[in-house]
Amino acid sequence: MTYEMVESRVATPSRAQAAGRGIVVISDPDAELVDRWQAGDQGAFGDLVRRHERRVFSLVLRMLGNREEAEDVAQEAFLSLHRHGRRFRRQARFSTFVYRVAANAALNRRRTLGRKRAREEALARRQDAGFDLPVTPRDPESAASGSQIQARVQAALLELPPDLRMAIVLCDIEGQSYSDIADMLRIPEGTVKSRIHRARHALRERLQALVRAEADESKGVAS
Amino acid sequence: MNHRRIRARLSEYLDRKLPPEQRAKVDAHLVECAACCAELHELERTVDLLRRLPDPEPPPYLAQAVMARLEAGEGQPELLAQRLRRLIGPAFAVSVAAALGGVFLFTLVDIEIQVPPHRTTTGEPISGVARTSSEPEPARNPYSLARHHARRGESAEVAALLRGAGHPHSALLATHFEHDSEIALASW
Repeated sequence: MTYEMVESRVATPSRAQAAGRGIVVISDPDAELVDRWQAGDQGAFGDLVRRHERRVFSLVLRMLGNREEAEDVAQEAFLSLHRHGRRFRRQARFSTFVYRVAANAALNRRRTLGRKRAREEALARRQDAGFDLPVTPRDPESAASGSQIQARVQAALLELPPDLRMAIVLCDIEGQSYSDIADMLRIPEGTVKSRIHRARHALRERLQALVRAEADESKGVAS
Repeated sequence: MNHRRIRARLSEYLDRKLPPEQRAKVDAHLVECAACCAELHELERTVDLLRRLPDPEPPPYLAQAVMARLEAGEGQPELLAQRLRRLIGPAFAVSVAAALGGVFLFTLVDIEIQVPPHRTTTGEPISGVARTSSEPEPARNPYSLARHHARRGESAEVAALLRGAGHPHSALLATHFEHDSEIALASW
C-alpha cells in the first residue's frame, strides 16, 4: 500500500480509483505550505508555526502544568520541527508530525525535570488549585465554581503518569483518533486504547465527587 | 461477556470504536446491568469534564520568537559529525573515527543532511555552514543573551540585543519589547 499526499483543494481521485491503484489518499491542508517550506521558503515555515502554535502550546501546557516551561518547550518543539523537517515523509498529515514532535519535546522535558520535582509541583498545584488558564465565565455567579472545577480537573490530569496523561490529552482534549495517536507516539493502537481507558478510570477515581455531583445535577434537571 | 470484559471495553464503546458485533454485546449487557451502566455514565462525565477545559492562550509572540531564533541560527539541521558526537559521546566518537580511518569521519562535516537552504533577507540562498571539529564553538548568539535578560525582566537590554541582531523578526520582537514590555516579558 502506498500513500499519496494531496492538497485538500486539489481534486482528489475517487476512493474507487484510488483503491484500484492500491493508493490511500490523505488530504492534508498543510501540504502547500510544507512544499514551499521544503523548497526553501522560511516564510512558509512561519505560517506553519502560526497555524499550529495554539495546539502545540495546549498539548505541552497540559503535559507540564507550568506556563513558563510550556512556552520554552513549545519554542523548542518548533525548532526541532525545523531541524528535522526532512523526516516528514508525507505518509500522514503534517499535523500528526507536529504533534509527534511536540509530544516528544514535552515528554523529554518531563524526564529532565525529574520525578521528584514533578511530584513537588503536582502537590503545589493541587494545594493552590491554581492554573493560569484564561477563564471566560458564562455568568459571574458560576465563575468561581467553574474555575475551581477546571483547576481540580487540571490538577487531577497532572497527577496521571506521563504516558497515560499524553494519551488522554491527545484523545479527549486534542480530539485525535486512536490511529493518529498511535502514529504520533509510535506505539500500537492497542496500547493507545489501553492507556486511554486506564487514564479515564484513574481520572474518574480522582474526580469522583465532581463526577457524581454532575450526575446528580443532570438527574435533577431531567426530573 | 462478563462484567470485567465489558468494563474493559467501555472506553472504546464510548468512542464508538468497537466492531458492530462487540458493540451489540455491550448494548445488550448495559440494558440489564445497572452497575456497568453507571460506570459508563461516569466515564462519559469524566471525558466531558476534560473537554470543557478552556483552551490556553499561547504567548502572543511565540511564532515571532521561533522565527527570531531560526534567524539567529538555531534549529538548523545537524551536521553528520555533530549528530554522532551528540549521540555517542566525544571519546567514543574519536575511537570509532580512528578505527574507520577517522580523519574522514570528522572531515565529513561538509556532508549536510538538511532541508534545502533557506534564504537571506535579500533573497539569496544561504548554504549550510561547514565547520571542522577544530573550530571553536560559536559565541553565544544575541537571541540567547536576550532570553537571559528577559528572564531578569530587563526589557531595554532585550530590545537592544534584538535590534542588534539585524533580522526582520528580531526587529519586530524588539518593537514589542519597547512598546509592550510587560506583555513581551510575560510571554518569554
